[in-house]
Amino acid sequence: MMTIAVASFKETLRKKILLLIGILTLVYLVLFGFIIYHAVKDINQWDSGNNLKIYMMASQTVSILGFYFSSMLVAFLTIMASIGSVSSEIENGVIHSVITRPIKRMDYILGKYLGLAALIILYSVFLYTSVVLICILLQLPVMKMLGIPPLLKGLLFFILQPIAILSLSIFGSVRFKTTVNGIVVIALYILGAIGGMMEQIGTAIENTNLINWGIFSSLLAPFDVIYHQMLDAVFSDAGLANPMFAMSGMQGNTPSQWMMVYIFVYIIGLTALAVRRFEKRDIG
Amino acid sequence: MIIETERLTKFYGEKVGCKDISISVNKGEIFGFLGPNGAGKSTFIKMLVGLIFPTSGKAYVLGEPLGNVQARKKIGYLPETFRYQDWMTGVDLLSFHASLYKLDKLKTSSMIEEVLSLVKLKGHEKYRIGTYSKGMQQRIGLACALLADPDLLFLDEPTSALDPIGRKEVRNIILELKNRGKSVLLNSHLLSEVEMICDSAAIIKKGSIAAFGKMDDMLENKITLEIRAENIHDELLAKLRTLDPDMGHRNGKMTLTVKDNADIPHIASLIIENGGKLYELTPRKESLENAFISLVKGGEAQ
Repeated sequence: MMTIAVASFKETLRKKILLLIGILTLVYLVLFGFIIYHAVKDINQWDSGNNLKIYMMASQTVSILGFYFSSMLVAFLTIMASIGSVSSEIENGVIHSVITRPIKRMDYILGKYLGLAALIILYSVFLYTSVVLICILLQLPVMKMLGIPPLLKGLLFFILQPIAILSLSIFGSVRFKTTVNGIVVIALYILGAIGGMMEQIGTAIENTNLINWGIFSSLLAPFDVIYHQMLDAVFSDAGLANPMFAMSGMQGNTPSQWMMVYIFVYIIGLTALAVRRFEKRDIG
Repeated sequence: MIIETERLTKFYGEKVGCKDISISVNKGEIFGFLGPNGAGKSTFIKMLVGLIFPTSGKAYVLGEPLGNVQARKKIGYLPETFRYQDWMTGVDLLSFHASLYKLDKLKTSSMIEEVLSLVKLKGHEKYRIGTYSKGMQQRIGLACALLADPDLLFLDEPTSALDPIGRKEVRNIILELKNRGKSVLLNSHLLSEVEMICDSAAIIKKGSIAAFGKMDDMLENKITLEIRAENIHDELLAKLRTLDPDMGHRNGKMTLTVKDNADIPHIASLIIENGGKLYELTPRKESLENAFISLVKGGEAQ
């Protein structure tokens, strides 16, 4: 398993998509720093002691911009790196000389999972830390209210989102061809985001149908739920409402404990299904 | 038996991949597996190496049922596609496969050196596989298959990308393996190659075995006699035609096909005793190519 994991890690490192993500990340962090710099400058000009609410809102919004777009970048890397992790090796025949060696098919899938997960976790930690450091270094006021434990808790949820996407993508890569898997995973990612919004709007206007559809979407693609859980973990200890809801003026519910249990079942279940499917699959 | 299959069958939905394949390969034997395109050769090999699962039937490889992971430690496989991770260097690829085989780390570098020399890729091992020619990729694939010093080697079209010198080198490697007591299952379209090195063979047609046995038996089943003689009259021709109704006769030259070596002196005496003057009688064993074509075309005629 470790042999496959190391090869999978190294292979992803050499992919052109990683270079593209690296450039995008750099551009994003520079832009983010630029926005924070100007936001802090404006906030300091407004601050006369009476504008606390405005500057809290601005600070939180910028933080959300940081976390939200970071999570999108991580999701993009996860999808691009993993959609063809198994299927492309089947399509080009590389797998023939690998799984005929004395390794179990389960080890092949888990090795792929582990190698990709290691890379994605490293990237997620780097991006999350960079966003937080930019906010701290540029003295974004809201950062003073956040302690290390909530930020670390937030990081765990920040990592959990791409891990859930990775489970879905690996399962799809065993089940479908690379292009089809790419379409399915991206569609589900978007569905998850739309579902999250539907649930928020449904809650705001007290529309049960919208809430139910939102929950249904979240069950298929619980990525947005994890993102909200991350915001909750970072901001709630500081006595701040989930800023995503505050920003939109909506009321939202913190994801329930059962939803978090479901997310762990989702990750483990999809990985187990990928292994089971691959163990019975003919490699033509 | 190093390989034994009992009515091994694979269906892809309604389509037959291969059906009721029962063969056995002895230890230390080079076994040729032949058939036209789409006959089911690759399906059969892929079942034996664990890439695809049989619909029915049984098979034992190195005495173990199909799918036994431990048995694969002593199996080498060169796939027909011979595609490898093009981002790895030759030595990276061999180290990767050594690790998959769980080879002793102390022995790995010497084994890598050995197989690189064997496939004549010394000096190229630091370059990326992506920069290798097709022939070099096939050689590095063979090196990967040989890395664990396997007892049984599956070679699926091992010389398809090689030049004549490369083909001869691979033939020599296969013969050397045989001398060391290893067994090889060779799937090749190059019938002359199979004829030269195989001890036994099977010909598969439309998913089923059309012929199977020792190479000598398969080829000696038919012997073509080229005869040059004079005074061949109708009565003699009629007698000769009882031995081969399809006999050819033109300008004192005759071509007869017989099944048994014992027929040769009988034909010579028949000509002489009937007043014919026999100048030349040359027996030619049927080539594998002829046997293959007649088997394959015979099926089409049916």
